Amino acid sequence: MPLLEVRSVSKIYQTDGGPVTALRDISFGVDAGDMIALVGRSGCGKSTLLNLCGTMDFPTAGDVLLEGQNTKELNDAALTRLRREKVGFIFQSFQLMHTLTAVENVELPLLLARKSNARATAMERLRWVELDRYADRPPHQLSRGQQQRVSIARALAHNPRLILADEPIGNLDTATGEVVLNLLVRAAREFNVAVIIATHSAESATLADRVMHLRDGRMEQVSSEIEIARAR
Amino acid sequence: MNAGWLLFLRLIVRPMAREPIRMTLTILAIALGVGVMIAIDLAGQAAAGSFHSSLESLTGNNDLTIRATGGVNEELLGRLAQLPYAFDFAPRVEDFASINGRGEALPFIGIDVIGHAMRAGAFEGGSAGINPVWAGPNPIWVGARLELHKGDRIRLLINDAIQTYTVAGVLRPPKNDLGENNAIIADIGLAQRTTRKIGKLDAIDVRVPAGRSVDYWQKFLEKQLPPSATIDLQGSRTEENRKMLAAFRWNLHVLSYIALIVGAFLIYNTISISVVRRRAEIGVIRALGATRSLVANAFFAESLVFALIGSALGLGLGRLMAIGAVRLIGNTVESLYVSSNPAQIQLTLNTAIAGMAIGIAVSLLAALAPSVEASRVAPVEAMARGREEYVSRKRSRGLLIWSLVFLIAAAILSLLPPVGRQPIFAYGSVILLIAGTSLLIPNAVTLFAGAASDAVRWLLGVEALLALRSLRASLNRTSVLTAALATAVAMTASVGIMVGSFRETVRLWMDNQLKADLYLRPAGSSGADRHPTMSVDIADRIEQLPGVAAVDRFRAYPISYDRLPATLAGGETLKQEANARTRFLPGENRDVIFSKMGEGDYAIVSEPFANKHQVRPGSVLHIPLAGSVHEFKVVGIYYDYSTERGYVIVDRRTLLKYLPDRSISNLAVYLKPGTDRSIMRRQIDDIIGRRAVMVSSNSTLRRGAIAIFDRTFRITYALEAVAVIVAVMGIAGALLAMAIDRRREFALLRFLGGAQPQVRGIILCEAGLLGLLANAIGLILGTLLSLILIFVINKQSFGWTIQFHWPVALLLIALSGIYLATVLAGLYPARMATCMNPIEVIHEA
Repeated sequence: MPLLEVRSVSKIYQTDGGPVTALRDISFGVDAGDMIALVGRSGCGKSTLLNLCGTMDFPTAGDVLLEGQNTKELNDAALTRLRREKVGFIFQSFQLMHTLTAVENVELPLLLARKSNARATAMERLRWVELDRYADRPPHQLSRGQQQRVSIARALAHNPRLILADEPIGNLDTATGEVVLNLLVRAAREFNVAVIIATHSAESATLADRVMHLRDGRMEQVSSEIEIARAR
Repeated sequence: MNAGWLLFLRLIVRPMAREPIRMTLTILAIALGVGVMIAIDLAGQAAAGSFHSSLESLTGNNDLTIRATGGVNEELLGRLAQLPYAFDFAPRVEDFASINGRGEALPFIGIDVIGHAMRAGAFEGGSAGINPVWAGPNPIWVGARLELHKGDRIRLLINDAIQTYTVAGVLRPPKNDLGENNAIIADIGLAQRTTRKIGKLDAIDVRVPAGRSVDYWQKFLEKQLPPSATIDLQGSRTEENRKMLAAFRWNLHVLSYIALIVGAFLIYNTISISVVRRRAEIGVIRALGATRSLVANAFFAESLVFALIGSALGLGLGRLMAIGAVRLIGNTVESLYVSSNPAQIQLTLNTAIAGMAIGIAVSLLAALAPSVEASRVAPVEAMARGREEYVSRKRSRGLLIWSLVFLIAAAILSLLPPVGRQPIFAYGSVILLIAGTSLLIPNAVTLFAGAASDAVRWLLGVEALLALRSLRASLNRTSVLTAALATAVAMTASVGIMVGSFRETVRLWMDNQLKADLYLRPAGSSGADRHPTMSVDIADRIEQLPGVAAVDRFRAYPISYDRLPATLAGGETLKQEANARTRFLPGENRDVIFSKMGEGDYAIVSEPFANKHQVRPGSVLHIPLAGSVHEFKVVGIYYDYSTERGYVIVDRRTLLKYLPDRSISNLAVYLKPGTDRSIMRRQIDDIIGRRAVMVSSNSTLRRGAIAIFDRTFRITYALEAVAVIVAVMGIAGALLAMAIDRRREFALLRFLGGAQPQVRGIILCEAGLLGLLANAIGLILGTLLSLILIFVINKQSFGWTIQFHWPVALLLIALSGIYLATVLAGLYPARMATCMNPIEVIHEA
């Protein structure tokens, strides 16, 4: 059974100007440890697809199954439980809480899930992203790259099965972006976690096992690891 | 279109329209603040205006009034009438009556009906020729408000006697009269008989001849009068009453400003939120060429919009609230000062303008700092939130110094004496104490957030931790809100402690003072200036009953001392010494004082009288009595909480020497131990017979006194409640703003696995922590304020010594109520936060 299964998913938004189709008939599966790049221009439906995978939203048609559980059949509380146990998010603008220190940001998902030993786990993850010495700093005293590394530590804090990264290097320079991407690759390998990166950067895509191209809400092309290696 | 106007419309009005609830709350806060102020002003005027109208409008336009303690001898009128000048003298007898012995005390005024009708033409159907309807027994004319008709027969209780009277006509109120129109007029002869003042007049009104000044004639007549009589300009008694009420009304006015002060904090907060939210826009428009003053004016204009709408609503609200307030104030005036019936409430142009002006001024003043701050935003400034926090924290250190300066100044001011019998410096001290504490709050929040962090997280979980951090992060906003709520809590606590202490002091005082088993007084309602009498034979016969150990006959007369109303009374001091435990000021020997009292012209005075007139033991009082001015040496000052008018008490024998009317105002009966009270009560009832005399047991009297006390302070509680409502509205508005401002944070929490109840929990925790902090600071500040209220303001305004006492139950109830209201204020913002779509919010630009 794949970790994540997306079956014939479509998503239509109702707007003042009429219905807008964000995704059309998308299907794919993701296994543990997979590193997938979701590539396409702005507005092609990448973020929508990530939100559906992350149980933040429901498809208009089709099904999203996370570890065999159909998200359509779950209520808000059950979805929240599923999310806090299985999914980690990384955002383009880091989304760290400015009122908390680095380590407090990392332990936040653990505290929300009422997990014990939160601080120790958070410190461990910060050490993993090599920021343990900045544990007590508030986000505004960290560089952008450091902030995104804290955000990766936070996404990994509760040992999720799936990490969804929405343009994780969109706000970073090339060198820092590379560091961040390598961290995500390492995370997939070391924690056996599936990582889906939404990006419009070709560079990000080269590190992925599989690249899915989205255009106007349709899956245009899926490149395998062999094809990507060939492209390298 | 003017650039400033366009800027105002686009930068201020558009965003305001997007948050109607928060805007409404701010406007309501101002409306309530202005409304309470107007209500107290109108109600105070109405309560103080009623005694003016009841006497003066009925007696017409006179120039002078002659009075004497215990009444003016009728012969004086005869002598004055023989003066070879065209004076117009109008004799008057004053008392109070109640219909069927129940309900309000109505002014019962005896005048020369024929003479008056000829002068004023104020009677229905009567001009020069008085309609001889008086064919019925005991004719009276009644005010229109009593809703009686010509020919009606009513039973009136006057002193201890009930008699039937016939309504001979209804009084036609003079033009533009604001009076209560509830007086009862009788011919002077009938009034003298009914009130047992045969041969006596309470006053003679004088209209002086034309050609010379009133002052000239006043001096002229003074020479014709015996030394015991006084002649004053008409209305001087009213002026005396007004003077007496000044401190009371002044204190109420000050209390009524609290809601507006709390409202000012909220205006500050609202404009601050506006500025913080629009920092980016301000930076951009400054970069595009907007001047600093243009930006500042835009925010000033925002507060002006709030102020104009809020103050205008406040006028209407105040007029409505005045209806309730006038009843509450009227009760207090009646209980503690002078007989009064609420007059009509009139919202005059002056009051409206003053209310609007104060509302606008306070709002603009409150908006000054944030507007100036807005004008200082550098062009294209993109200040990180973390940096903002750093600046706030740095600023809060500077505030600490100012706070200490204010607190020291407050302590110094509290030690200064009153100015013209008004505790001006003490009020200054209160303002500085509130300001000093408010400036201390940013540091208190930081300290609290730091110290309580671990405990809060352990006790209440991550929601409380996030709430606490948010409070510290938005220090500017948190501090102002905490200051607003803490001020409201402090005022509630301080007034609660003051009233509770006062109540406990009165209770202890009654324990000492009220030792008799039974108390008798004429039936009908009593007041601070109403001393109806009953026949002394009741006392004489009760004294003879076998179960009676002693009776104490007490007689009181309203007097004017040093141009202020007071009460002169005679009691049986030896019996008081033997039975009651009257407490004197420290250092005074009770036994020595009482033994002196029986020896002659010695007096003891109540504490409010002593403070009001700067009287000390050894002082000599000059009181005009029985044809001449007599000197009474003060031998002691005793604690008294029955009236703020102040008492001068002499021995009954001394009083009878000068005023030989043996009637008594009330009677204390001490029973022998083991006497059967029910048998005794029956025997006393037999003696009273058909006379309208009320007998109260000791416990009933105490319960009645405490009920009056509680009624007296209802108005203060009402004022505190409004201030708290305003503060809680502010909290609701601010939490709403916070929920909107932090929507990305809440959305993120949902992404990180936070459940909806957890998001709701954060906002409720924030409200709860704000409430907790404000309650704690408010309680400390309130305790300090209560010390100033009890030991400085009360002492300087009213002259009462109050023992400090914590009304624990009252404070617990009040503070829990405020706390609960604060947490509930977070419910709507919490709902809003949970209803947001996290996906939309997180992807906002």
